[in-house]
Amino acid sequence: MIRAVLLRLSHMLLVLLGIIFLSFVMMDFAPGDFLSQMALNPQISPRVIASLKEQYGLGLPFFTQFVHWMRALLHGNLGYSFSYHVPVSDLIAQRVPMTLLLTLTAVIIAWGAALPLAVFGARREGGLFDRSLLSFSYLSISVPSFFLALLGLLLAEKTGWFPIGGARSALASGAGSGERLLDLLRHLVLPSLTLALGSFGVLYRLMRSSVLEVLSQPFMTAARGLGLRERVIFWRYLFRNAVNPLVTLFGMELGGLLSGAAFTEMIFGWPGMGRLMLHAVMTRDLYLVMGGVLMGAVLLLLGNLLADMMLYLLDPRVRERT
Amino acid sequence: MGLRLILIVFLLLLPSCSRGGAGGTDRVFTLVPRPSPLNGRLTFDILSDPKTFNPALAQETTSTQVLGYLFRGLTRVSPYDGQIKPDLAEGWKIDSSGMRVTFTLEKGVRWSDGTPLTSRDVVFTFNRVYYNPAVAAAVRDILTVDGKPFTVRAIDDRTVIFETAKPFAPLLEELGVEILPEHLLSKAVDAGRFNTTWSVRTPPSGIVGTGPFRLKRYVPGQYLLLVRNPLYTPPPGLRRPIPADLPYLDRVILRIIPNQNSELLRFLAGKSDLIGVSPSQVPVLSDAAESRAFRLLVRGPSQTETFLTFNENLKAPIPSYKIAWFRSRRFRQAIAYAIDRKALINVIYNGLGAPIPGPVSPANKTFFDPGVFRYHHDPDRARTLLAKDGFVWKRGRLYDATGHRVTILLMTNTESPERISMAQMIQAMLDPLGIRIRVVPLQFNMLSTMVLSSHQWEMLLFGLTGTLDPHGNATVWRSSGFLHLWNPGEKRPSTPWEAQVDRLFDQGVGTFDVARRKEIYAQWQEIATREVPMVDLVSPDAITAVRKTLGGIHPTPLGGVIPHISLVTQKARLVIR
Repeated sequence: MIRAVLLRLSHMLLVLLGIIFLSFVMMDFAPGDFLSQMALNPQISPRVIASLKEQYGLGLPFFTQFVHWMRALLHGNLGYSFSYHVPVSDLIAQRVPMTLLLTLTAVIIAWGAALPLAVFGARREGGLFDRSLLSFSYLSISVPSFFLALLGLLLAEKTGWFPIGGARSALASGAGSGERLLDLLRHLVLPSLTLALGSFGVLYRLMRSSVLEVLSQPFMTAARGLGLRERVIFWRYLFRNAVNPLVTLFGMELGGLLSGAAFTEMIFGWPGMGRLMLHAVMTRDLYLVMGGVLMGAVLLLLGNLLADMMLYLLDPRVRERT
Repeated sequence: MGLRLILIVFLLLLPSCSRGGAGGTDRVFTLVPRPSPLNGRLTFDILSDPKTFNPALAQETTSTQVLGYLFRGLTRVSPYDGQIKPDLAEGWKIDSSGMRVTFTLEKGVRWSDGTPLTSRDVVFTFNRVYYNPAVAAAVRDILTVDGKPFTVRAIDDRTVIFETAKPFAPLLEELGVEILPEHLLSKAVDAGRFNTTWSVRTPPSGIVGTGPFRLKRYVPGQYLLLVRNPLYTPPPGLRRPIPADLPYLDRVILRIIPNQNSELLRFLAGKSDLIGVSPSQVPVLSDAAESRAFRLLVRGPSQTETFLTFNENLKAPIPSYKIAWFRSRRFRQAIAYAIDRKALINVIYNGLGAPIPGPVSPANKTFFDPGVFRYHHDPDRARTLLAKDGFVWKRGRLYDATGHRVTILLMTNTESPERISMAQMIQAMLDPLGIRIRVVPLQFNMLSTMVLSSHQWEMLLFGLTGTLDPHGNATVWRSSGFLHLWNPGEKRPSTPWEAQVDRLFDQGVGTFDVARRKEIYAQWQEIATREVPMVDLVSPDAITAVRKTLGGIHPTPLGGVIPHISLVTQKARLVIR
């Protein structure tokens, strides 16, 4: 196992290098740079733009820029943001906790609801409960998340039950810590439900069909025939086999933790990474974009590694092969 | 089963959409008068985070808007008529040569940390910050005359002299740039750290200005809290409707809401006090105004405008016969006559906009020439002009004298959906003239490269940020200007009228007498509308929705609905049941 993990880690390093290099190339190929927005401003002359270009190091040849950035990266320095004039790592560190709070809540809700409901539904396949949940999951897959988010905002505006966007009431920071937490949770409800609903449908359908498949396996009949207790059948044979395909999906989901909530963040005004990155890409804030790409890539690779390790532990067949 | 369920869910949602959009009527908004209009709080939403708290480095509007509450310059612009008024200065004297202006600072002004403001701060701000090549200050250009900085020196604690190489009329307006505290920033400048000083990571108490408010708290991505600056000294001549210390408000809260739909919903729900409204949102809002206790204030044409321009650059890599069309005045006038500006306003701005006749917006009360020629929609006139120029029609298609079919690429930027629909309407308006337009929407950076570097474009639909002083147009209208879009950076003017415009701009910048300047720039507007190198089109109305609880609100052509932030009051409390 340890050897396999080390091997995977070294592969991952290569993949990461590839991702970084390609992203850097793409940022360079796209026309213009951070200063291009100023080019059509009558109040800023080409002379000033040229001097800013020099200050930001944007005039240097592509490889020099890349090597400089990589060298800084090896020293743990992600560079400076052009628009904020602060280290990229500061900006990212500021936003990551909020995004994780949102996405992890959503993951817990979605997985926590989808798995048990799917098992329950599959066991009574074709029943009213199963059919209505199946229809619901169709709906949740087909409604785009931004639309759902807008509906959520309408709900908040109409009923006044939930705050309309943001992550905190402006004056709550003066209140006690318990009140502050409650305020944050109230703001969290709509965006996290929106996110969770999107992945609920996929999870439900996948888990349901997986459970159905396992239920039809001869070993299930054999286990029943041997007179094993229902609880043992469920945990050792049914769940463990059925959850197998979902573990890989879980790895992917980990990769999307930082970037997967961008739409929802924009509409609900949630102060997370998605908004920061979107703005960075739009203004061509080179090092901020690269910092975000790096974080996303690392998380995706780690997620996949984690998923594989979980499979290794869960599935003896995988263990056998390695 | 599945389909039926989906239908049911949608039917459940539908009524909430239609009513919710117009502001549901189920909740009641009432106004309860406050015992005193003072010490209130103002809340509104901004679309993105400020990028810096350093006024010298701020480049985009969110940062400059926030900093406008915290910092002040020597002068300010009256939002009513565009006149230049004193702010940190008590007044100024211009000597007879027009090259030396002496400013006297207002007595008793202190920084928000208690240190007195002196002329040393002014000298520091210009000589060590704005003119410092190591500082990434984009405003440096507007503080120069022909590329030469002003000479700034202090005579005593309250007197500063500005000297320019030539008389420079826009000087007074340009000196509205923020003055910075020497005692807090000189170390950073010395150490070469200025570009990272006063960033968004700086603790709020460290940001010290002379404005009516101080920054109290900034939570990234969420909100900014500004509180009154007790040491604030208002500018001379500001009339106070209530005899109390300024600012009247206690705090200003700016929520960062990155999405316009959410901003609108928040305003409708009573979470914010005012919101800028686009003409397309007016029908939704006007229905809700009464029940949700707000007013819609239409302030007339805004400073943003859109124009068409043509590539007249003889060296441009496009067919030379096309350049010949574009260089013909009659051809350009024909296009100007062919465009139905009313239709553009009706379709794109819901009827809430105004045609812009020339290079100066009617919003600019000081310099707009009311007698300027206006192109009305006249397709017959356009045909006559084209025929006089040797163009002919064959089966409804237009050909030039050398037999080339008139087809033109019209470029615009993809970031503005309004501009793209405008381009498509122009395409349809030129079609009856036999002119075939192909609309090419390009990403901004791509477009700016094609227009400014490769010159590979034919016709362009675009807008530029206007300035109050017409001299701000020099980079566009002077034949040597880098944004002289139709023929950039000419060594010497390629037409007699361009030479005359150059002369007018030289005269205008050297004259301080406003009446004389008006005459000069009226001549320029006359030439601009006769030669139409840029066909000016339309401008949307500036509209703001304001909660009825607010006092000190007056719609102004130049400064939004708040003539001076320190005079805003909160007259009533909003109660929602």
